[in-house]
Amino acid sequence: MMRLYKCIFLAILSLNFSACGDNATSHGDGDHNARPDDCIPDESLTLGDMAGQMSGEPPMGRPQLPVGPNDALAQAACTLLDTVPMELIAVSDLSSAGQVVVTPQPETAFSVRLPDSGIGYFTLEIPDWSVTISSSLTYQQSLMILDDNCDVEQTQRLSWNGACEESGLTEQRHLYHAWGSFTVRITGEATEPVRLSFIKLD
Amino acid sequence: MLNSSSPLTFSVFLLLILTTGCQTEAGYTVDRVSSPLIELGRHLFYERRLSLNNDRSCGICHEQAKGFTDGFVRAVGTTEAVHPRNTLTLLNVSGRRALSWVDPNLIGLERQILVPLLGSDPVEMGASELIDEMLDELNGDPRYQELLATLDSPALDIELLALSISAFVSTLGTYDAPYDRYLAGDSTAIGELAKRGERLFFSHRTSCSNCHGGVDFDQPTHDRHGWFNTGLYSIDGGLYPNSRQGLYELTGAPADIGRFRIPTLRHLALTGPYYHDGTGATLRDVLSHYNAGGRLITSGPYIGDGRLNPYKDHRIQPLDLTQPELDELESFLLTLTDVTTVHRSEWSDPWLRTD
Repeated sequence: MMRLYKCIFLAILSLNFSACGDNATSHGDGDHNARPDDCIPDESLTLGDMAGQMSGEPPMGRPQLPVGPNDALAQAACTLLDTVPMELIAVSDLSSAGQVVVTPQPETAFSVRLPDSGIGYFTLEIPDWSVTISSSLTYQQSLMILDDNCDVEQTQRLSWNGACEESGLTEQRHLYHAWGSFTVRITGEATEPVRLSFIKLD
Repeated sequence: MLNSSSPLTFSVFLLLILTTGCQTEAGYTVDRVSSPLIELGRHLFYERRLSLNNDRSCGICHEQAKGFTDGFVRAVGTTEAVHPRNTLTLLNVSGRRALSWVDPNLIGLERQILVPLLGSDPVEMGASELIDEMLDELNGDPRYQELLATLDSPALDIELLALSISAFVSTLGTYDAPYDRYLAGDSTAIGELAKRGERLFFSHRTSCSNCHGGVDFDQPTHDRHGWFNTGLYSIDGGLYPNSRQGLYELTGAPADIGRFRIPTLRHLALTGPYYHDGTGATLRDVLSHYNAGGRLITSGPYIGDGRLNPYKDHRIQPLDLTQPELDELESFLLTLTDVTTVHRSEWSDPWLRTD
């Protein structure tokens, strides 16, 4: 139960932008059916909506978010805005996320095409321990890392990218305590590909 | 119930394999069942200095807590490139003839162990260019000198490395899962749900055991080969995703498209995600796919109806099992896992010891 409480606490703390999933009753050594869907937020909310809730402003328009640091990670994400992204097609259901696998790429942005529902999934493989990853995308779209072991800790809440704040790029950072495969859930408009990047702090 | 094999005959077979002495190229003979050899192999199994970036070892990607798999959808080597396939468990691996998802000719643990160590497609440990320097470094380590002294071996070479790691890996695995204890006479070792699942598993209706036969539940009972297309994908007329065409990658024969080795069902509660490419997220997903006679993919890059794959094995047909029956089958399959395997100290990382 402690793990469940921890997940709930972390989810509330991060206002559901980052989540850890699964619960203590279904996980443990040998759990074959761990499925990280306990931390999925209200599906009607976009990141822009949630940012509006955070700041107390209406969901329309540019929400007030903190401005993140202007450091190497933030600058790298801004640089990727000028590159040709790698195209991904997200799947529509959580259990199929393993069909699309990516790793953090310092020199590659991704353009993710979403299913008609506007909610898509894919797998992010983290090949290191105790590594910080910056996730960037525009504020109309939301990103959530689903974590069935609660191995992910949000170290920077949703912020405007401090290196290119005017671009509308947001950034959040997560510390992955353990390596592994993590399911990413993207919400946006099905008609508009989501441009995002995952950059590792070396 | 276990078809033509039994745990007893398997144990005798294993003993015969392991009691054979082996003379190395360097001219010294080692006893393949000796504890010193296994202990040397255990150290090397967990040795990160055998990887290009000092961040991989056999034991990193075959983690004890995860049933000697890595838990990844698809493996990631030392260069951080995503591999085309899922990591197989090493538990009970000594009973297996073929050791990879694709290659029927890759047999023998000593040979297989050199693939992740030295192979370049894909790069796993990436040691090929530096193996001599790596061995020199290990030979200079007092701990290895001590281990080698117990074997009366002058030095660690690539041959002894493969031999000792294979000796250690051969010790991984058990035949003491709840279902084994049930077969041995303990009627309480598995529950009623699992007992009903057992009947389904061995029934003509499901024919699960026709492919997952033998003591490790990985041997087909009616075929000489163990590679099958189970209808996971059907892209552009029956293909699987790029670089994952199965036996076809070796033979070039269209009939071999999508044919991958039958994996063991032992310890499967520890070894997910499933399938050759890790796209089976849960055991229930896998059972649902078989129940439907193949996998229908309706979104993502691989849209297609695997049920209609022209290369699919004809025995993969809809089962029409009810949800309660799937519960029973799942319950039975879980009885094939020995959870004590994650705690056994004799298989643990010796470099983490504090004593």
